[in-house]
Formats: sequence, structure tokens, C-alpha cells
Amino acid sequence: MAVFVRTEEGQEAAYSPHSALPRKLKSILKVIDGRTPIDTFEKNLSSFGDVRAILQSLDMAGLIKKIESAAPFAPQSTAEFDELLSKPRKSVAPAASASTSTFVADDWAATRSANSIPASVPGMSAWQASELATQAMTAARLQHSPVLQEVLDSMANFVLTHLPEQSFQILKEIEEITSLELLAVTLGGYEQMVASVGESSVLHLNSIKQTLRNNL
Amino acid sequence: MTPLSEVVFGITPAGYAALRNATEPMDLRLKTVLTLVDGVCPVAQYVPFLMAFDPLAEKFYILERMGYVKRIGKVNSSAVSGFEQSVLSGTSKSRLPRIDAGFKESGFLPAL
Repeated sequence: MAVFVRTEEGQEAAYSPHSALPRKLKSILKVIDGRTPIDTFEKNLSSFGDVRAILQSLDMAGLIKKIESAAPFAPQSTAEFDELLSKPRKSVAPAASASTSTFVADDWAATRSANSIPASVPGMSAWQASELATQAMTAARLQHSPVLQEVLDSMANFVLTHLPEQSFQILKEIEEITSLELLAVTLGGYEQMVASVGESSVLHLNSIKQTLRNNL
Repeated sequence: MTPLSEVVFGITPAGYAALRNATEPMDLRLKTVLTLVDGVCPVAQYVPFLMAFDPLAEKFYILERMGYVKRIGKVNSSAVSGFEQSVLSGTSKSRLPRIDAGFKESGFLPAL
């Protein structure tokens, strides 16, 4: 499976305040994590147009390079997969009140993180636990229902259009939503975040809520 | 006449509308360039990082003709020179392309 990793120059370009890289490209560079397949970037960042050409450009500029990653996660058995997903999760962070105006994407990201990463298995190293969590999310993502995928696409498009400054961080979080149940849990945070957009956010959220009502 | 390299483009309301409207027929690469316009960076700053979109200038011209971007400012030529220097003076490991190489290849940046 081909994935991209940041080079030394790419690392500097992504995080140095003096980098000449235009900021939207910088944001794309930051989501390169060395494990997300190129196809996934293409699918989830389709609002950007030709994502493959952007990645190719960053590659030509020496900021990222393509490597072959290990084989994708394949649970040994259904029971193993079920056990992995049924591990206790961290408690849901309390949602900020609707009147709070200081809500930022980080708050939503924290809640999302607390609810999306399976707890580690006793005796497992931190690295193994992290790998397992990532692989589980990848495997679960493969089981996306068309309905979930449609909602996630709609959220990604909305964020890219109305909240471009925060879009990449949020897109990464959206990418990790693997079920309608998880979406329902995190919708409160998302709702507060997009509320500032105004009337179009109301329509957008109503559409998502209607979809959840029909499918949960 | 401002060389295109010094021009800062911004997305117009029509451009935002085109991005929102998924059914709007638009060349995929044009759409990509439009998405990346940030109203801050001059054209010269995009060239070394969007080599797969060559010729980039043509795409900016087309987007401008379509009314999706407009010129909202310019940087002075010394800023572009400074940028070129920063690209050229990268570390010895840097593989960042020379900015002027991009200009020659694309045949772009005519005086306006």
C-alpha cells in the first residue's frame, strides 16, 4: 500500500513560521501522516479537486515522498475485531454550553479523540496499541455505509466552504468517524463549531440530524 | 504593468459560489488552483509548489477571465526576489526547485 511521508524539508515547511509554502498547501502537508493511503486522501479531500496532483507537486518539491507501507489491517477473526471495538472507551467530554463563543476546533477534536480510539490491551506496548487503534479505524472505515459516507462528504464540503481556516484539522477528525453512532456522539461539538456560519449551517445540521433519525 | 508573479489573487463571490456548487462544470485542475487561492500569497509563491499544474499562469488567467478570482493586491518586486532567494538558499539537502526554472518551463509571467 503506497503512502506519503513528510521529508525533512517537508517537516520544516509544514511547521516553520518562516516557510514560503502557501498556507493551504501547508495545511495539506500537515495531514500527511505516513499511514493514510493516497486513495483515502483523494476520497476525503475531493473538495480540493485534483488531490493526486497536489500530492505529486509536493513530492516534486521534495516535501513528501512515497513509501510502501505495511499490509493493511486484517483481523484474525470476527471475534478479535469485535473484542477490539468493544473495549471500554474514554468518557465523553462534556459539551460546552451553546452560549460559549470560544469553542474552537480543538475542543471538538478532543472529544472526537476520546471517543474514537480503542483502549489498549493489557501487556501491549504503546506503539502496538497505537498501531492497533489506527488499524481498527481503517478497518472500520472500510465498512462505511453509503449513508455515513454521504453525510461525511457533506460535512467535509461544508467545512471547506465555510470554515476554510479550520478545515484541515476538522477534515482529519471527520475522516476518523467510522459509524453513525460515533457521528451522533460528536455532533454536538460539530454543531457549535459551525453555528457561527449562520442560516446555512442550520440547514446543513438539520439534514444531518434527519439522516441520523432515519438511520439510527 | 505588474508582472503576474507579484499579483495577489483573491477568490470572488462567484468563485466561492462555483466551489460550493458541486454541479458547476469546471476543469478539475482549475478548481484545485481556485481552492488554493488564499488572498495572501503572490503567484510567484505558488509556482515551486504546484509544478504538476504547469502552466500555472494560464490557469490564473482563465480563473480571472471566468470571474472566479480577482487581483486584490500585489507585492513589490523585492519581496518576490526575497522569496526566490529563500527558495534558492535552502539547505544542501533541499530539493526545492528554482523558482525561475518554473517560470521558464511554463513560459509564464508576461508583463501585464
